[in-house]
Amino acid sequence: MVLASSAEKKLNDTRYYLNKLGESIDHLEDYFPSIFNDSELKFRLESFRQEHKEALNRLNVPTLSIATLGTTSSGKSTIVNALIGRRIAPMEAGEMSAGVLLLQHSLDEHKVVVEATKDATWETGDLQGTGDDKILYKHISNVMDKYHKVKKDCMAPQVKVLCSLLPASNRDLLGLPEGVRVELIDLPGLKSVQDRANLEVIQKQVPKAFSIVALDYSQVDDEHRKTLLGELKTVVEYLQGQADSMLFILNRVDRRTSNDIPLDDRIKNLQEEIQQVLSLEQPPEVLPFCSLLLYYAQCAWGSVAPNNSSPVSQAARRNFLAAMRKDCSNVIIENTDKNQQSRSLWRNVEDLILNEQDINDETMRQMLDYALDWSGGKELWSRLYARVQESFSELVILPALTSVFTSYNALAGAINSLAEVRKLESEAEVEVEQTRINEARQQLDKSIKNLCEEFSNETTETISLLKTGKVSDLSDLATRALERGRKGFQSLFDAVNIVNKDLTSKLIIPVSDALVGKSPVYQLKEKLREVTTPVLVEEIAEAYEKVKDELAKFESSADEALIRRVSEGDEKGKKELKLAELAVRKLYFDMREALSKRAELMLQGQAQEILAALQGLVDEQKDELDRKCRELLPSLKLDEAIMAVSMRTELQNLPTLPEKFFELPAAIEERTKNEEVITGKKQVTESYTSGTCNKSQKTRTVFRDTKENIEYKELSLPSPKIMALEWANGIEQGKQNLWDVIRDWFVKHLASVSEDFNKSVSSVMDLAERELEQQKIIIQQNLEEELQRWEAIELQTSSVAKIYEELKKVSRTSQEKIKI
Amino acid sequence: MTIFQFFTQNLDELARHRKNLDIYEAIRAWCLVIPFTSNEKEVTQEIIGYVEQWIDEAKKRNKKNGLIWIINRFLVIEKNIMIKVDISVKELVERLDIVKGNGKSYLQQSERYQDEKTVYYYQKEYMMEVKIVLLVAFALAGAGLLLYLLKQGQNDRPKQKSELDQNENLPSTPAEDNSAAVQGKHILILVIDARKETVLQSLRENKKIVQGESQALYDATKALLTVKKSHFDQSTELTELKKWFSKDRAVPEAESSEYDIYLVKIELSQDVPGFGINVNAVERYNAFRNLPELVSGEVEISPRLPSAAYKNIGVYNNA
Repeated sequence: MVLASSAEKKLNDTRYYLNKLGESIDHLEDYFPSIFNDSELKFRLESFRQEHKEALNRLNVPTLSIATLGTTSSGKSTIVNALIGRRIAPMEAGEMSAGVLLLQHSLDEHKVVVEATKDATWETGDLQGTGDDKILYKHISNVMDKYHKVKKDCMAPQVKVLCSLLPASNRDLLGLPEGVRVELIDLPGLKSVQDRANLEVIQKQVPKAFSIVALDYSQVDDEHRKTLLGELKTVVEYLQGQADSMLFILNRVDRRTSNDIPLDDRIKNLQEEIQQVLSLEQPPEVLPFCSLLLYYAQCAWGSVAPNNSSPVSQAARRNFLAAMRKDCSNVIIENTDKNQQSRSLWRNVEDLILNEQDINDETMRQMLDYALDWSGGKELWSRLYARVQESFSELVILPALTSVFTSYNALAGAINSLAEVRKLESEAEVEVEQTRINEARQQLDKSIKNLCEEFSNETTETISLLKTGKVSDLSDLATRALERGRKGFQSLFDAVNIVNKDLTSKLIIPVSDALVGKSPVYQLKEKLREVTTPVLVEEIAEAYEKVKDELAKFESSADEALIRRVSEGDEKGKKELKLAELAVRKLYFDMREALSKRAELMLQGQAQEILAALQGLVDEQKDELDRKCRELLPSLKLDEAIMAVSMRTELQNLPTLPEKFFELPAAIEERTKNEEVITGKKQVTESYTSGTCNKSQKTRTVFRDTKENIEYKELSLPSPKIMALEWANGIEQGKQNLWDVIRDWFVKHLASVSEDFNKSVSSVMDLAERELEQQKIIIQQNLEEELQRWEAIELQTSSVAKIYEELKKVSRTSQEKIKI
Repeated sequence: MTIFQFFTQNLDELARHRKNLDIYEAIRAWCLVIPFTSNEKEVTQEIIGYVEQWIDEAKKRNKKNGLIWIINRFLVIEKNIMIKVDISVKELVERLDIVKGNGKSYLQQSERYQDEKTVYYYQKEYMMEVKIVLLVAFALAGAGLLLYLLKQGQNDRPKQKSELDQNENLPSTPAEDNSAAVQGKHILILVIDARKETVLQSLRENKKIVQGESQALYDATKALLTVKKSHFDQSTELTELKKWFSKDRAVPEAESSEYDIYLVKIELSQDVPGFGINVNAVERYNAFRNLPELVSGEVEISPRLPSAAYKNIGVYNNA
C-alpha cells in the first residue's frame, strides 16, 4: 500500500501528542517549579513522568497480538503456520497443542524459549534454531509430547519462538506501521485445558489480542453442529474473548463432497447460529478456508513479501509442493479445471516436482498467488487488514496509554485544587475552608465506613439469600438488580448452580452410569477426558475398574446397599473384603479430587462474568463515594482531585478453593455377625407311633440338619446408585461453602476499594490543609504577586489540558469504518 | 355370574396350565380370556408389546415405580390367600383337586398322610408360583391393555370409546381406565433462563422435547414445579401462573434484560418424583434425562417475561 494506513496515522498522531504532553508538563515545572514544592505534588509529578516514559517506550515498539482459538481438531496449528509462512506450530495428529505457543517476530533471532514452569519435566530454557525451522519444530513437539506423558497435573508448557513472521515481514498484509511488532499466540484447544491454573494463563492472553476462531468443516454437518456450537460458546466464554470482534474461519472446506449442501448456504446457516449462540448483534463473518493448501504454498515461499526473493531452499520448496500435490489434489483439481492458465502453471510445477528440478521464484510467486486465492487466504488477509485497521487503537495504542491518563488526571486534579486555594484573598476565607475541610474529613471518614459496611452487608445478605435458594428471593434479587441498572448479576446469582449442575452431569452421572451398566473402562475414559485432567482420568479409570470388579462379588440387599460376607476364619475372604472397601474408598477419593478441580475450573470459566458483577458493585460504591465527596467538598475542586486520584482498584482473580472442599463420606459399613446355619445333615433314629386303633411304638431313621453358630464378617458397600446420590449430596454441602468463598472475596474487594478511597481523601485533604496554611502566609506577604503568577500557571495548565484532550481524541478509534 | 366369580373361575382355570409359569404366556392367556371385538391376536401382541416396554423402562430407570409396587402388592395378597388356605384343609384338598384336575385326590388315603404332606407342599409351592405369576400377569395385562387403549384413544379417541363401552366383560371399564390415565397426568412448569433461550428453539419447532436436548433443558432451567393435571386445571392458586402464558404479559423488547425468563408448560403422562422439591441432583438430572419419554401432550412456551414472573407461582429451585 502506497498510502499510509489509518493505523500508521493514528500511531504517529498519538506519539506526537504524547510527546507534547510530556514537554508541556516539563515546561510547567521549568517555569513554575514552586508548584511542586509540596511533597504530594512532587510525588504525583514523578508518577506521571514514570508512566509517560513507560507509555512512550511501549508506543516505540507497539505490539499487535493475534490469538488463534478453536474448537477441537480445527487445524489451528496449520492455520498459524500458514499465516506465519513457516512450519513451527506442531501439527501432527495426536500432538494436540496443550500449552501456549507464542510466536514473536524477530529478524535477528531464530530460537525457541521454553519457560521454566513449576514441575516441568521437559527441557526448559533457550534453544537456537540456527536458521533451521526443523530444529525448532522438533524441540517444540518434544516438549508438548513430554507434557502429555506427565503423570502428574502441572502447568502446560509455555513456549516462545523468535523468528521472522510473514505479517511482520510483509507489512502490507495488515497495513502495519513500521516498528509495530507482531506476535501470534497459538492457544490450546479448550478440551486439553482441564484445570484452573492453565485456564487462567490462557485467559490472560485473549483480551489483549485480536482473535481468530477456527471451526472445522467436518463438524458443521447436522449431526455435529450442535456440539460444535456448544464448544464454541464455551471457548468464547471461558477465554473471555470479545465475540463481536472475532473473525471466524471455517477451516478444511476442501473436505466438502459433491453431496454436501452448497457452501454459501452452509456458511449462512452457521453465521445465524453463531450469532444466536454467542448473542451477537450482527451475524459474524465466517470465512471459508483451506489452511493446508495455503500452509504448503506459503512455506514453499517463506515468511517474506512476494516482491523479495524467497529464502526457502529448492529442496524444501519441492517437498512442500509435493506434499501439497498429494494432500490437496481435490481443491487443486477443482480450481485448475476452471482456469487454463492456472492449469498450465500447475502442470509445469508438477513436472518440476517429479523431475526434481528447480522451481524458480517467479513460478513460485504465481503459484502462491493462486494458492492464496484457492485457499481463501486472500480474503482472510484482506479481512484481517480491515479488522486490524479498525481496532488498532483498542489492540495496540490504548493499552499503552491507560496508566498515563490516570496519572495525568491525578496530577492535574491536585494542581487545580492548589490553584483554587491560591485564589483565596483573606484569612477569613482560608479559615472557612479549613473548618469545612476539617468537618468534611470527619464526615467523609464516617461515610466511607458506612458505605463500605452497607455494601458488605448487602453482599452478605444477597449471598445468604442465594444460599437458601428460595425462588421468590431469587426473583426479588433479580428485580432489584434490574431496577438498579446492575449488569452481569444474573451470572453471579447462577454461578454456584452452574457449577453444581456441571459436576452432576459431567462427572457424577458418567461414572455412576458406567458402574450401573458395567461399561468398559475406555468408554468412561473418553467421557472423562472432556471434563477433567489426564491424570485424574487415569486415576478414576483405575479405581472404577477395581470397584466394578469388586462389586460383582457383592449381593444386593433390601436397602439397596451391596453386601458380602465371609466367615471370621476365612482369612482370604476377609482380605478380599478389605480390598473391596479400599477400592470404593479410592474411587470416592478420586471423585472428590475431580469434583474440586472441576469446580475450580468452572468458577474460573465464569470469572469474567463474576468479575463484571463485582466491578459493577465496586463502581456503584465508588459513585456513591464520589457523590458524597461532591456534597461535602464543593469548593477548591477537592472533589475532582479526590476522584481523579482514587484509581480503579485492580480486581484480583477468583480465590482458589481450599483443599478437601467437598466431603464425600462413603456409606461403608463393616459388621461382625453371629448366625446359626445349617452346615450339613446327620442321620438320627427316632421313634414314632403308628396305627389309629392299635397304636404301636416304632423307630425309624431320618436325616436331620446339623447346625452351627458361625461368626461372619459382613461388609456393606454403597451400590452405584447410592454412590451417585452420596456424591451429589457432597457437592450440595460444598455449595454452601462455595457461596462463602465468593462472598468473602466480594467483601474483601469492596473493603479494599474503600481503603483506597480513604487514602485518596487523606492525601488530597492533607495537601489542601498544608496549602491553606501556606496561603495564610502568602496573604500576609505577597498576595498580589502570587495571584498574577497563578494566572500565568493556569494559562499553562489549560494548554496542557488541551493537549491531553487531543491525545485522548487521536488515540481512540474513529467511528468511521475503514473500507478496503 | 359376578365379575369376581368370572375372575376366580378364569384364574383357577389358567392355574392348571404349567406353561403359565412364564409371565408372557400368562399375560397372553389373560388376553385370550378378554373377548375382543377386533383381531384378538394382534391386540394381544400389542398388549404384550406394551408390557415388555413397561418392564424395560422399569429396569432401565431402576427405581420403585408402579410395576414394582404392583408385584409387591400381589405377593402380599397371595401370601394372605395361602394363610387362609392353611387354615382350611378342606379348601386345600379342593384346590389340589383342581390343580391335579383328575378328580382323584391322594389325600383321600389318610394312612399315607405323611407322604401326602410332602406332595401337598410340592403342589402348594407349584400352585403358589403359577398363581403369583398369573396375578402379576393379570395386573400387567391390565396395564398393557390400558396403554393399548390409550394409544387407540390417541389415534381415534371417540370411536374407540364407543366401541369399548359395549364390552361389558372387560375386567375394568374403559371409562375408568381413561379417567385413571388422566388422573396420572401431571403438569411440569419450567422457568427457563432467557439467556439460554436457544434451548427453546427446538421446542418451538417440534412442540416436543427431542432426545438429546434434555441436558440443555436441565442446564437452562432455573426453577420448576410439578402438579397433578387436574389440580393445575382447577386450582385457583395457579391462576397467577397461568396468566403469565398470555401474550400481553410479555416484557417489552426495549426493556428486556439478562434477568428475564420464559415459562414452559409440559404435560407429563405420570408423576415423576425427580421433578419434586428438594430432590437430590442426580435424581433431578435423571428426571430430565427421561423427560422426552414422559411428555404426553404439546409443550407450551410463554412469551419472554420479567423476573417478577417467577416470584409467586410456587416454583422451586432447580439446583
